[in-house]
Amino acid sequence: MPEDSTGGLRESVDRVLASFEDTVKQYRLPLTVLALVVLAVVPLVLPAYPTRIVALSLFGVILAGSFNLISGFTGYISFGQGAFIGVGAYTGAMLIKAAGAPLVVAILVSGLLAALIALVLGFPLLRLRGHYFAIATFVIQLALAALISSLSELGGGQGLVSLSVWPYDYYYYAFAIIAVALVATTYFVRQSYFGLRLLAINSNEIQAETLGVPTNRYKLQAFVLSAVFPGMAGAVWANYIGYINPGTALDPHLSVRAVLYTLTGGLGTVFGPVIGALSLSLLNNTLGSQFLELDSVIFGLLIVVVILFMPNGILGLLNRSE
Amino acid sequence: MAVLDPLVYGILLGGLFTLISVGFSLSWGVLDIIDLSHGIQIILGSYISFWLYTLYGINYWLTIPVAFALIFAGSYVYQRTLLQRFVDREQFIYIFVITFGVSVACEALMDIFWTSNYRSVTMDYPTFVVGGVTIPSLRIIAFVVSIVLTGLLAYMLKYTRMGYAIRAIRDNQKSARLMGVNTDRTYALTMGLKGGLAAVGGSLLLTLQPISPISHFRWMVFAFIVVVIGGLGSVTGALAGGLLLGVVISAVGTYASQGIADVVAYTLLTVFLFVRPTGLFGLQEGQSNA
Repeated sequence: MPEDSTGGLRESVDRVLASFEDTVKQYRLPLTVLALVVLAVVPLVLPAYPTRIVALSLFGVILAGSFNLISGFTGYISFGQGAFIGVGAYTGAMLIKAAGAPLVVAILVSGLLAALIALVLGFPLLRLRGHYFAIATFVIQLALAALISSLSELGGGQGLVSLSVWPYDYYYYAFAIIAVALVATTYFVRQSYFGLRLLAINSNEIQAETLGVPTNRYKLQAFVLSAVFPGMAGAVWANYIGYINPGTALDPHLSVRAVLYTLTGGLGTVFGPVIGALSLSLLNNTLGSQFLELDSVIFGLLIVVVILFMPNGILGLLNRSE
Repeated sequence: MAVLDPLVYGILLGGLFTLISVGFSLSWGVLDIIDLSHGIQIILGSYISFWLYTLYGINYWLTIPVAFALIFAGSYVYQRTLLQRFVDREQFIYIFVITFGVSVACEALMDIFWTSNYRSVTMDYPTFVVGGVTIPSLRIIAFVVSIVLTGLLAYMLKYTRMGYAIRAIRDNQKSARLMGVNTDRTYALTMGLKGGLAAVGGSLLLTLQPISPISHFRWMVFAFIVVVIGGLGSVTGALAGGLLLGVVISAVGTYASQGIADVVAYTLLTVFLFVRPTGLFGLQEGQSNA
């Protein structure tokens, strides 16, 4: 019976994940210190190009982690986390280029603006269920791209050239700090009553509401939280790549990458998105740089292969949380 | 009359919007499959017609049935081999992601093999002047073909065994299967029809404007908008949504700009999602279409 075999597989994968989490719990402090030290020394020991790849992978971690904060916990699948990258990218680029703001200020303001937009959009968005939420988030990102394309103040379809005035290491450390903050936030959410209630919304929203969980407020808080980090990362990214237009800064690829990385690693877990993002980003960047022309083909096929051959256990995690 | 121009052009364009969306509406509304590679099927239709017409000099109108047949078969196999497994496991979010992956890979492959140049066909057809409005006959042909095919689909849904099977699945998949409907085959045939109609839409589209591999995304989004405005799984809805979108795009495009027209279209879509997610003619929860 196929059901038995997947059940067995799912159990064994669950066991592996559980033992992995146990190990992590047991050596929590030394592992955290080790990871932070590795992150800190990467630009010092690696040459410039590999450092850039690691920086972009950290950007992927932020994408995936932000998707995980809203979708992994509440079960509302967002296909629009890239919108917050775009908001951050444009805010950051404008602040640094037009107002000459310091990088830190640009990052913080971008995060704040992304959060505000999530707050405003979250009200109507989070009333939609299932497919509709996924599609509405996807569409809002497209609408934002179309809107910016028609605003000449923001460079229109031509885009903005943002000046890269800082050494690359600055951007690396900015990505690293945001990624660490995001993982730490996910960890604390996972441990907290807030996180438990979000999971309750995930497993049965009506029941959670009946039991007195203010579901609308919690969903909105999770959504706003999920917008802050990509907002901040967007500001860094815009100046890191030096040139943004609506097609790159609000590329639907960004949102889909977030979903893909998270599904690969494990939806609703603390480290799943990190593992998924690091492995797939590194793979895509290494393969992509080998066959430059085939970059998009590889990305597309990677999506197909990962979704098709993903271990059942990780699919099982999604099923269990639905 | 400057006022009539965008209206007439909009309605004619709306027919084409209806054709590319009506299958999308069925697959989403009936099968719960949101195929993000829908635009690829449209553009492949354009390319099939383009190559047959330019390379082999085949009469353009004869290339359209070829495009239909090829993409119908392709979509049938696509559903059977790639997508059906996710339907069986009820993992519809995966279909969203995997079809996006397919569309990314296909767009990139088309770029590599066929370049990203915009392609167009030039055919010498007369234009009519009716009541002060100048109408190229190609637009009328595209409109008529679209409406006829949409009508045929509506007839098929209402009066044929295949149509009964599709509607039975919409009402209740499990009961349909218990009553002897071959659901896997019906899924694949519906997806085949969706792809085939999209390809015809693509072929007709190429007679009106140039296309390139990147165009697929915009046309898929148009299908999205039409379906959400009109309502899932409804042919009447696709018609209403298509015509409405056609007029909006054409009017705003004329008086403002194409960019603003896109923004207005997206805004319309967002408003519908928030205020009336079932669209104009969509079924409410638990409602049947007897």
